[in-house]
Amino acid sequence: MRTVSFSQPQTHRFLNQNFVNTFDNTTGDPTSGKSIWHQPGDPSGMCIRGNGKQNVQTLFLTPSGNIFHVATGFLSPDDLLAESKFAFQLFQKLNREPQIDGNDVVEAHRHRIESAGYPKKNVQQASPVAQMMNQGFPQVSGNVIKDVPFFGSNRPGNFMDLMIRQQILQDQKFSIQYPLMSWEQFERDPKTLVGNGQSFFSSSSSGNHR
Amino acid sequence: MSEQKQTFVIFLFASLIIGCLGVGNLAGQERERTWTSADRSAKIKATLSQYDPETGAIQLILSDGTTRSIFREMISTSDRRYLRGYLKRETSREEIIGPESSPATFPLFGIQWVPDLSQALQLASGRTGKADDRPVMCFRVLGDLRGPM
Repeated sequence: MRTVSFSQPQTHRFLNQNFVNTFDNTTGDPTSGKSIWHQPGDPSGMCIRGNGKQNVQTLFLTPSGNIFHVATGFLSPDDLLAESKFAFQLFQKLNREPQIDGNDVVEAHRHRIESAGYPKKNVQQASPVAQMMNQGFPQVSGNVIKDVPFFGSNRPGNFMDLMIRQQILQDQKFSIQYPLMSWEQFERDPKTLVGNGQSFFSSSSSGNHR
Repeated sequence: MSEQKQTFVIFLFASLIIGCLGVGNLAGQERERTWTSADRSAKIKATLSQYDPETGAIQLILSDGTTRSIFREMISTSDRRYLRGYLKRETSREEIIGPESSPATFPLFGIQWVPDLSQALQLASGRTGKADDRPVMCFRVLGDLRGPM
């Protein structure tokens, strides 16, 4: 998974130039999922966006340790670049203000999901699944959020598309509901982002059960 | 050698060293210049800090020390020509002295990583104030990024 997400030079350049990059091993965390062991050199398997949300989360934080954007589960290199660009532009906006304001985080995420076709009045109301059931399942036209219309038409899509859209929406809603949550608070209760479920991640047949 | 000549030789040698250090410093840093918007309606004086040719992201340092991020599409054609020159200079500099790297980071999968979040947050805080702050990307994952996971 990591070897795929971090496989493109333009993603490397953007992250190296604009972010301080770090990682956190969630082994032992009760909310983390299950996985099959993979070495970095193992062949990568087929993944779709959002696979294994309990196993991997990409979090974007201010230097004071407040989370202002998240993307859960597997991200393709294009998805990672798109999420990083959104996060960088949002950070620039936040940092220009005398004091970083959670309302700006909320507005930026609201605007993002509205631009992606999700009705404004429903952003904080009914569950995304219920909304999609009412208005039809559009087909996925790309893997970057701006290319994924939530309600492009009423034509039937497939269940995977629905899952991807739902997860993207839930990630944005986390930032709307908990803008600028501190890292410490998040670590005490990651369920606010990853839920109570236990995801199992396996992207190739090699390796041992963990 | 007379005392006067000795003093002159020492002065000349010291000047040469200071001069070399100055040139070395200039080699890695761009000069302040005027940047013009693509529609030529706005101009700002700033120094180029970073440029990513793949994404088009440009980081400028303004005269007052604050930073501003813009994209290539937002600037004039002459500024874009300047960026091409900058890339050539950077490439030749890296061939001579190698890419810059911070001792606190290590490379893996093409990314420079800081091994823990508290260090990352420290590094992200600007040295000269809020304007230099950078965001942190934290890859929170089950397992060891450097080994099996």
